[in-house]
Amino acid sequence: MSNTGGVSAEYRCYSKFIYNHGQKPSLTRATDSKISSVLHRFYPMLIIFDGALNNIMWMCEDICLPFIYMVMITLVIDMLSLCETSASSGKSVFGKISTLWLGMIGFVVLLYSFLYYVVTVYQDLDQYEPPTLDDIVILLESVIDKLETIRKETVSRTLRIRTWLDVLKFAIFLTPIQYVLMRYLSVRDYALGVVVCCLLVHSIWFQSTFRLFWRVLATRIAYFSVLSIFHDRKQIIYSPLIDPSTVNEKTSATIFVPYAQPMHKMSGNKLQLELLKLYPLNNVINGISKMPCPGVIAINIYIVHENQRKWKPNNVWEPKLLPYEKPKYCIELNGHLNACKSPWEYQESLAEDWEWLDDCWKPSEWAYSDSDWNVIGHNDSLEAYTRTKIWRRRVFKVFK
Amino acid sequence: MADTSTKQRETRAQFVDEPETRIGGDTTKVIRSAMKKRQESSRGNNNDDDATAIVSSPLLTSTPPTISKALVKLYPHLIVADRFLTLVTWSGEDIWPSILMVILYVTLLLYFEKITTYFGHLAIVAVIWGYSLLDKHVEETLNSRPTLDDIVHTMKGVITKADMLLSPITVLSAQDIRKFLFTTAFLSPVYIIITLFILPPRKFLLFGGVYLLTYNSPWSMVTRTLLWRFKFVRLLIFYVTGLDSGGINKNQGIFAAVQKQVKKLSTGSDGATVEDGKPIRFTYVLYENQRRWLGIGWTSSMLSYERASWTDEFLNEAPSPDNFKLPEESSGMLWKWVDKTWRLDMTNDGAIQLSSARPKTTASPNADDGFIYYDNTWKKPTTEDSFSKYTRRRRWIRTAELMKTSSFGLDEIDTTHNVVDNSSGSNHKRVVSQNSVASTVPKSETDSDPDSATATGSRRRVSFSEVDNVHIIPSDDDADTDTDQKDLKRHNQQEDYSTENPLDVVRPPQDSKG
Repeated sequence: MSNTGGVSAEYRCYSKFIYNHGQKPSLTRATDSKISSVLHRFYPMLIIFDGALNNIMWMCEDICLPFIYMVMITLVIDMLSLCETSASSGKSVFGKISTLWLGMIGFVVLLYSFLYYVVTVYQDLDQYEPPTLDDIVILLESVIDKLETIRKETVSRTLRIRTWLDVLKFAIFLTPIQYVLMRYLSVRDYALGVVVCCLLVHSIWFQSTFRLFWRVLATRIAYFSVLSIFHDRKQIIYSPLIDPSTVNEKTSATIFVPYAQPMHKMSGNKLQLELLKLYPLNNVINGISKMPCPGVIAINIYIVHENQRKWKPNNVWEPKLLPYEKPKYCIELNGHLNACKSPWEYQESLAEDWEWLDDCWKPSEWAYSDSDWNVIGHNDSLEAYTRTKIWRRRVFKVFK
Repeated sequence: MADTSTKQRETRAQFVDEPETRIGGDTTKVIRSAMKKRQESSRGNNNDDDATAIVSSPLLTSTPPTISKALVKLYPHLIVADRFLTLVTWSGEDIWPSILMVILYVTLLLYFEKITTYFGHLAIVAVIWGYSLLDKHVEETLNSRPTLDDIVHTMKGVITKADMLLSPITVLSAQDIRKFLFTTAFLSPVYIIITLFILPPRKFLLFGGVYLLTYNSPWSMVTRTLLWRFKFVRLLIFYVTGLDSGGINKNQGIFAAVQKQVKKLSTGSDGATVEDGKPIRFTYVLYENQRRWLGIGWTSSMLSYERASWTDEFLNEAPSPDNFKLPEESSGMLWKWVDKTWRLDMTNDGAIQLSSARPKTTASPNADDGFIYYDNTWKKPTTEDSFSKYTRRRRWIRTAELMKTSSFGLDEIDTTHNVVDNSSGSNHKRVVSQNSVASTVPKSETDSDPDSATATGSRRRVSFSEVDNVHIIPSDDDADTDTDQKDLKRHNQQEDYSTENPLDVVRPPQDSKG
């Protein structure tokens, strides 16, 4: 009896495994009815919103449709500008009537295609098979993805405006441009240009042209130089290459520790070992004073960044970097980055009276980041285009 | 402190039990975040927060992680949508933001040139700034760890408001919009003249926009209901939009009338010959109207002010055969089709002379069969198409019967005769007789012999108008036996003529709401 029982249990296990194999359980039965009902009621709105997003992002099956809508919008703007005195004076009556008629037809078609879409969505949902929960969730996720894409592009790719100060800066920067534009453009052309640009941004033509331009180094340099006016990015000083004595002079991160009585007899390696015992590299050191005075030991830490970029076609990491970004090696100095020599060359040019506290440079792991130096993680991935390794080493000087 | 720790232990024990019952998958993460939140809140005040946390747990555990993840991501967007919809539908407690929105719109439109010339660049910067503020807000709400109940609640709010916003659109049918488009295209020269001399497009956009933005505001609703009381306004709207706005619930309207009449008939209050339980045959009649458009040919698109493409015989709009559904059963009555399909009346109600070899009705006619042609104003009917003919119509019929379902077994019904048989019989027998009728009638219709239809017994043809009338026409052979019905018919016809003008039945679409 027990034997057969065991066999049957085994079989049951086996069949259960087969049942789940290769197929996901349907969401419908696994979900609370409260949530399913709300999602079901939400579905038509999702479809309508998704349709609108598709048109904005040029992701329809029929790519002509957004284009037609764009033409219609252009016609409508044309019609609206008709009462502008400057624009209408040059036109004949016939031209005026044709502009009016085209604009009106455009408006009517836009309006009715929207109405028709909404009505048919509700009708189809009524008439045909109701959606499954999986359908709804898939649509929901696609809508969220699209919103996220728009968000990313608007917030990170264009102007970063966070405070009133940014707005003020932009106002000062853009006013001359606006003035020049307004001298040569009518309001109609200006509005038309802005609207068409906004509508076209996500189209494949615009995107591919944009990418082609982005490959030109001059474009990037221009973009980042304009950007650097507005953003207080960490300023990078490219030249001259800073040497250790200058660092020691300029840094504000020097820590002063007491030069205790037992140490007075020590010198060279012994003193270094004693200090290492007292202050290991990874510990935070609490200094005693801010200013150098007799009877203290000054400790400085050199933090050198080693930067690399991944280059196509072989995806090789090379220390070759673009002119507007971080240099190959740079040292952190009072919150800024300053170009410097490699750590090994640094080793030889240590200033007088200063001695190395650590025996060698202590590297960190590579930190991988995207093209904009936003850190992604510690492993290489498709997204990663740059990486940084941080070398640390400390020096000390005794004030007797 | 000890208090919170015991509580924590309690809940943990609860949650460990749960996962066995749920099918969704692993939600430990979600639960942990919920618990973290609860811990935080329980530091403040103990009892209230405990209650809410317990309420939220069933939803959490019974929702698959795919859904809860998507919902959490959707939440910030939902909040933004909710705010926007509140503004537009004027449903917030504070209506001042909505008023501000309208004022902003008006200013923007009135001073568009000046704003663009002097502040165009700033407007763009401001838009991007506003967007990044919104984005910051979104990030903050995501960090506030909403519960699923919060999300569902917000979602419900969004749905209600969006429904409110879309309700004027969703009552329309696709056909209405096609009609709309046609009317507008047809009347566009008039509109051009209006915009050229009276109302420039900018002003039109101003008024139209303000109307749309304030559509859901309380004042606008009151004004609309007030205006709707004037017949002139209704007429104007009918002619401008080409939409019979009284007919939004048209299909139901027809059948409501049918039911009313049927009730009257079955109770026998007006002396009709129908007693309880006897099936009544009705022949539904639909007229298909078409208009010829130059260069396109015959289409079902009609002008806005004339009859619809599908009407009953009193020119009231009716659903097309594809959409024509029998009304739902009412108080123990059941509608059932006798004919399998809609059949074209080849004689067009006796107007077309057919050779005796041809059948009078057919289920699959050619596109041009059975039409009577009229000129542009539906006059001068002929059976032949010619160049001066711009309209045409033909007649479709289908027979249905109405029977009592509640009276099964109480009295036996002989469906082949119009006279009530009072002898009691079995339920079984009745069903058999029902079936035989359903099968014989279509057969008789396909027969070439026109008289075979009358052989199945008394048949009454009924057509329904919107003015609460059932029109019962006794078939020719039975005319002498059913004098009562003839009277009824005459009576109804009189009513029809008195309300001939279709505009009289225009009703406001949202009277009940306003």
